[in-house]
Amino acid sequence: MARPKTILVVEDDRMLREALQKKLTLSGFEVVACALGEEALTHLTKTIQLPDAICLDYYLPDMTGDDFMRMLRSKDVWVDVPVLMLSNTDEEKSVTSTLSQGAKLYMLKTQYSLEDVVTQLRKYCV
Amino acid sequence: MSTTHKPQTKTNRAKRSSPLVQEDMQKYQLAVEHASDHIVITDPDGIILYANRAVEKITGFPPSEIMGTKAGVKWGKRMKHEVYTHLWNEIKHHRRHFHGEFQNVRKNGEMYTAEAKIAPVLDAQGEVLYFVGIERDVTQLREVDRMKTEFISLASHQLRTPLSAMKWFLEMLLDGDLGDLSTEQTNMLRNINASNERMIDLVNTLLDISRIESGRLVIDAVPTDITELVTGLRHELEPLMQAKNQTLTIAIADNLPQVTIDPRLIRQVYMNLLTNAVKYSAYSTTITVYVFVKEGMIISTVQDQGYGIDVSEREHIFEKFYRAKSAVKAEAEGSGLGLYLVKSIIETSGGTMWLESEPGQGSSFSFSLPIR
Repeated sequence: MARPKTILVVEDDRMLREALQKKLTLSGFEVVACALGEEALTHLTKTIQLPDAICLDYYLPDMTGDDFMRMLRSKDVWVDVPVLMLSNTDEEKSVTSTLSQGAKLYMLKTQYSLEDVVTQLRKYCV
Repeated sequence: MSTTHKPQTKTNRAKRSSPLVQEDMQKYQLAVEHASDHIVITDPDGIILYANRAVEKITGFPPSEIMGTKAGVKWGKRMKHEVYTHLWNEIKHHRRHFHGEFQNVRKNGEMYTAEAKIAPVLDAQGEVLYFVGIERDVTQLREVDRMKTEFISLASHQLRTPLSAMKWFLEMLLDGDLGDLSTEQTNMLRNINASNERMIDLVNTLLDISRIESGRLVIDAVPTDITELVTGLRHELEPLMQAKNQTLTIAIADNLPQVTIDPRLIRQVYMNLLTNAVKYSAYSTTITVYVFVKEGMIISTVQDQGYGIDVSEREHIFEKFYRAKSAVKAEAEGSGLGLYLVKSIIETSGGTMWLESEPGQGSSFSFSLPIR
């Protein structure tokens, strides 16, 4: 039996983190959830099995999605991990800069359903 | 004592009116001199002939330093050259009034925002005798506007977090992810979900407005096929229209050229006008969309057979938070922001927006978009 795909959820809002964790688990994913960018980077450094994808909130208390992407792209082993940016800001500059740094998709949380998030994750976790 | 009425001769009239004219003149002079707005009178070349007290108060330059100089040279010239060329063309060559806003600088180097109105005074032959310029320091007003816009933007972003949490938890409940629900529970959750979606829409509208008002709205203009854009709306409107047994007719002229517009924003314009037409029209009526070319512009009209808008309300209809009486009567819910946003999007895209309406007969909302 194939190993379930692992998703690293980085979201500082407890409720949104719980909602993502619940839906992704119900959809058959394994979920590692972090509230801070630093915590997520530490997890990536220590883990033996890299996640199959990352759901990343743009505004985190300790860094922005841009900062996180920059750090993620600075290590060769992390470069290929697909990132879905989930955000509540649709300011042009956050969208463009994140996508230019290699995020697969920029999703506005209020515009997308959890089912949409699951569909996109399935697409990128191959 | 007898009184004799003497016929009023020209000399008599002059004698009687002279002190009055002088008194009036003095009154006008005092009013202009002490007005809180900056008032300047120049000759046809823009050379200052008169400056009231407020000029010194606002710009910091005493009359001795500005009389005989060209208006605005001391405190203006901080904006693009084209702005001043346009102003000069309007007042000098077209002899039209000018109304605009300038970034100026005081004598002490401090920047300030001025709202300016400049009018040519013409002689009987239509030649310019003087220019009268009135400027108001609106720095504080604009700062308050900016802070208000920033606050709306910040508050709206903050609101999106709890709204998305509600959206996602409701989605799981309604999808049965956490077990079966009774019909009544499902219906209630659907109502909560619909209210939440309304709040999301309102926050999105407020954010779009704050972006437009602060000049941060990015128009992502790409060559767009309007025919495809408009016909694509039919499917989305179907459930709304079916619920009221309404018919949508789309009449688009053949060979419509492509236009360079932001399709997301213009789609929002059509959707807003069409959903309004559905909401504010009775059952079994027809809504028609016309799109055609006229004088180098693409004209779109959304025509309904709805309740119409009273003539006294037409000038307010595009104002922020304004809702027509007929609209409130037909549908109590509504923010009064939709048409304000629509007009702002059209004007930011280089077009204009107008309304024709007859109470009881229906309304036609039209807008133009430049072909480029």
